[in-house]
Amino acid sequence: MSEKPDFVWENLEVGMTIGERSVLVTQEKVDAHCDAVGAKREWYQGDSPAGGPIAPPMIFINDLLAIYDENYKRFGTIHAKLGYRFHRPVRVGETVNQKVTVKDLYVKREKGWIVSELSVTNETGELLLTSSHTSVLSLTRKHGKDG
Amino acid sequence: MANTRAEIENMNIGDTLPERTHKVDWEDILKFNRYVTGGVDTKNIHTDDEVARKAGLPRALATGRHPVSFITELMVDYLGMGFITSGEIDVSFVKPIFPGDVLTLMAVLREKSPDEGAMRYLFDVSLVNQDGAAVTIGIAGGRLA
Repeated sequence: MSEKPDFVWENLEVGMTIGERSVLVTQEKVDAHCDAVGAKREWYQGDSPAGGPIAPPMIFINDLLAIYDENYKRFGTIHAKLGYRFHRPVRVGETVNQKVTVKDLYVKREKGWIVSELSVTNETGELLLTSSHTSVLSLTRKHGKDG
Repeated sequence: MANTRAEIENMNIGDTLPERTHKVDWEDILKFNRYVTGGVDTKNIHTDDEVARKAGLPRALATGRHPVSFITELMVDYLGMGFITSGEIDVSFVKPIFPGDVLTLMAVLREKSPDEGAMRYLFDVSLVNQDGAAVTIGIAGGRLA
C-alpha cells in the first residue's frame, strides 16, 4: 500500500478532488453530534417538518477534515473561515455522498492558504449543502513536518 | 417558547435577537473532540496543555468550529426549516477560545428582503468572550419558513 502524500502546497492544485465517500447518517451520529455541541431539538430525534428526524445543520462539521485525512498526511490545520449553504434537510437514515475539492490556493503574508469545499448530495444526486473552509496550508513538505 | 416568528417579522434593520451565553467548559471541548474522532480520546492542541505548549500556544484551546453550532441553532430557532433549506453562514475565527470562556452570541439584523415568496433575514453575528473580545464574527441567515 502506497504512503499517503503530505497535505502541503506542492501536492495540491485548484480544481482537484481531494476525496469522495459515502456516509450513512445514523441516529447514533446525530445523537453524538447533538451531545457534543449541546443541540437540543425534537426534530433531531423525533418528528420534523421534513417528516422524520433530520440532522442538525453542523452535522458534517468534521467531515471535510476526515476526507483530508483519508487521502493525505496532515499535520494539523489552522482554520480562518468557515461557510455553509444549506439547500435540503439531511435525513436520519439516508446515505449521503460527500466530495471535497480545492477551490483556491494563494499566498498571503508569507503563508499558504487553501479554500476547499465539501459538497454533500443525497442518493438521487440532489445537493443538500456545501461548506467552504479557509485554512492555513504549509507551503512545503519541510514546513508541514516542522509545524 | 416565545413566538419567534412574530418576533422576527417585527424586526427592523439594526434590531438584535435576544443575546445568548454559552460557557465552553473543558468537558465540552473533550466531548467535541470525541465526536470528531469517532469516540476516541486523543491528545492534541485542543485536549492537552502540553501538546498545545509544544505548538507555541499558551495552553489548550477549543476548536473555533465547535461554537459555530451555537449560531446555527439560534438561526433554526428563529427561521425554522427556512434555515435548513435556504440558510447561509459565513464566519471568521479571529481569536482563540479557551476552556472556561463564556461566549455571548449576538445577532443584529443586517438585511431583510423578499425571497421566493417569503422574507429572507440576514444577521451580523458574533461570539464575544467574557473580556469583551470578539472570537468569531460573520453573517448568518435564511428565509423564514
